[in-house]
Amino acid sequence: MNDDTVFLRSSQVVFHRLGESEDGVLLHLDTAAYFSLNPLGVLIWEVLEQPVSLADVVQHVRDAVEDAPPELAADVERFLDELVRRELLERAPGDANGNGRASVDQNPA
Amino acid sequence: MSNPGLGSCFGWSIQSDLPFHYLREGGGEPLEVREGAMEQPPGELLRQWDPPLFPVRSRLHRNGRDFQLWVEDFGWIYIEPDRPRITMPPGLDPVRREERVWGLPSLFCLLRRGDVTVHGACVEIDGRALLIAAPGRFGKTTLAAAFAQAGYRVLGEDLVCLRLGDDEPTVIPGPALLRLRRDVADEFRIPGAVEVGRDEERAHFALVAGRGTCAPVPVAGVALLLEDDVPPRLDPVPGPTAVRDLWAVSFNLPTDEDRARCFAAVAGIASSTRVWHLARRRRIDALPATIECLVNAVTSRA
Repeated sequence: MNDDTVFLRSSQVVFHRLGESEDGVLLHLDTAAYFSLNPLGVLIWEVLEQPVSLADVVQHVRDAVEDAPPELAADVERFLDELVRRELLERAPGDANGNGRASVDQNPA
Repeated sequence: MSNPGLGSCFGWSIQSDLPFHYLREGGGEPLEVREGAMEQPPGELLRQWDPPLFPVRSRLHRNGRDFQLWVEDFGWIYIEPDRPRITMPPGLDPVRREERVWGLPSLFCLLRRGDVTVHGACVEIDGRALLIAAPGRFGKTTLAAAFAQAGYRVLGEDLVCLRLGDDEPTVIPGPALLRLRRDVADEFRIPGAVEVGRDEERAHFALVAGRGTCAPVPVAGVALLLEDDVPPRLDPVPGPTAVRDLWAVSFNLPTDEDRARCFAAVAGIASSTRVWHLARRRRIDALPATIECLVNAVTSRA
């Protein structure tokens, strides 16, 4: 994947942070599929409020996380790929100027 | 209308010429229930339910902002959530007709009103509501009947109406009724319950004494039933799991807007309410211990 690849949230997804916790939940309106995000997933999802490149997402996470592991970029890329695969994100070819792993879990129901 | 304000259910004042068994005291915004043949042709088919996955063959259609529900051996029900008004087929058994009114037809009206609806039972403990939820036949109604026998008010036995206010979620009490399997019904002596019908499967009880009004009751917690067979135990459920499990037993109108609204409400309820997984033995003689466990949890207000 090119670092300048731009990611956009699907317009068919709604997100809610769970009260005072740092967890969050996503719902795909077309499929009614439910997903939960851990705090790092929430951090990334909130960065994606505007179309943003992989490089910018990685940099944002690196700035926010203490002692970011060397494999951070690969972890973020894998997470974004997972969101795309679940149709929560869309990917566009890049012309943008622009611890732990994030996770997304799907409701088996 | 010759017989307005018969009583209340789900916060509505019921306006009807028809007899009702399960209403509570007090009033509210009007809901008209009447008999009549459906005059409009069926609109867009939204959903259908067929045996053997579902017990009764049914079809749901949309006609503008109204809904048309066809149920085999029952007929067409016309639902106008904006008015709100529910038109039932003529000539039905009154108990069967009323129970049908408090199912899907009411559900559509509640959702249009902006409330959240959950498949579950609900009881009042010390002035607060305990929602008992599970996806299938997990013994929700039997547990609610045990609470009723122990003197607690039943706020709902199949469809629970929740409202997410500014302060805390509340339950708007539904019909004062219990439907119990015949063999289970014979195990209970519920004070103030009047048997109003009995069919091949179930005994139908109107909870007359202590039915109260439809005033909102603050939610104390949600117990999600597990299938374990162990002494009663409540385990707190993490927020994401609580949303997942509550979402699985909630309803929404078939529109993006309403689905998003209901999801936001479910997330809000899960965030502001204690949610537990309840493991317990599914035996009649184990019910008192389960009730004690739940009452202790609710009244501890931790």
